[in-house]
Amino acid sequence: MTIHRVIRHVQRYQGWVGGGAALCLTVGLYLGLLGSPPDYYQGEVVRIMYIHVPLAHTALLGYTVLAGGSAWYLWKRDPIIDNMCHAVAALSACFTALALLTGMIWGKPTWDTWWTWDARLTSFTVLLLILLGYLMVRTVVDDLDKAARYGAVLAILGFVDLPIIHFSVEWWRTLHQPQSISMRGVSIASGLLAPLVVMSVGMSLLFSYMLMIRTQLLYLNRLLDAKKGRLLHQFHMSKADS
Amino acid sequence: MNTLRMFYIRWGVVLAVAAGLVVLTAHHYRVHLASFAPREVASESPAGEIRVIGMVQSGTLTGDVSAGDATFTLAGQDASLPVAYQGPPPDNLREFKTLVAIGTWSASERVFQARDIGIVPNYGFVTGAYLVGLLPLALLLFTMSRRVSLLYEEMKASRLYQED
Repeated sequence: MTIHRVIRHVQRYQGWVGGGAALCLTVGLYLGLLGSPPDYYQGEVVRIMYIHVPLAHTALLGYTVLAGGSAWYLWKRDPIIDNMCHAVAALSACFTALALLTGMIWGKPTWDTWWTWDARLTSFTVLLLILLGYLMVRTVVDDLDKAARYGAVLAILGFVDLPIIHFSVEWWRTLHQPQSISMRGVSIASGLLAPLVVMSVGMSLLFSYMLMIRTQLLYLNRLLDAKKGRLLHQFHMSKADS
Repeated sequence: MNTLRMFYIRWGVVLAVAAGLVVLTAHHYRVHLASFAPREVASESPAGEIRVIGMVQSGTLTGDVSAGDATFTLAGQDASLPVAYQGPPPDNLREFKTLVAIGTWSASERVFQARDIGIVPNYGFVTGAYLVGLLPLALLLFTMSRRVSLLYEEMKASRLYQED
């Protein structure tokens, strides 16, 4: 039995992506925890930004991949794309939950509250609920093709939450700070920018690496299940013949 | 090489790097960012530049704060410390404010000569955020990678998959 060409590509490049992620995260953590100055107003607490913002960016990037992949799946109906979408949804849910948790930890010393129903926080929570809904559809629906189709439609419909998340700090007066890096320019001190960029690149590479691993996991599980099912079928057929 | 053995070697390297980073960070914070209480400064008379955490005692703040020249008393739980500050105009220097004074202790004059004033660091929140952000990802990645390695082993053993 030969393995799908996409999985062969994943096997070939995953080491480079994983190595790049490890390198960027090591340098980013060094810069973020040791090599960058404390903020003028927030002091040492600003270092939470180097973990919170990359997690949030990567979660949004992950959902973009999920929505794009879902549209691609509905067009091509390639099972390997479905495996990738299923994998990216679980990882995006994880990154979204962690972004919310680290944001809560940052909120306590800066806003003096763990949680507030701010537009950015609420729309980000909705994203987590959409992702959990996607994963529930994939679990509850028994028919694999139907589960893939329903999930893809839900993922595409849920994409409407992304521009709401992005523009929420501009559309509403919120407690959450506005974008530090946007089309209008960069409003962040250069000493704080370097670890933020390195950590964001590292977190995106880590997400890609985890996606490669999880896609293989789902693919291999399905392959083994299919093969075992065929073997079991042959076994029953031979029993019936004898 | 055995897929599972490669998996454990890779994770051994990752753990070694992570442990090195943790030790380096802990050492840096202990050497450069460790803070003294006013009682410790008065009793131990530490040499060199140190950081002292305390609250500016009410009625002790005198001098020209906006010009960066002031004296005040920094109070801890069971002791207080006279501080002479000379440096850039501080934003956070006011009565009842808990802050960090950075400078040197003059044992002969019994005065702490501060050159800078900062806000109290919240290392607990920073440590908590990094642990919450990174540990679940590391555990998830470890579990998934191990499972994939086991699946490849199972496929090879059952002759479902031949390597190129």
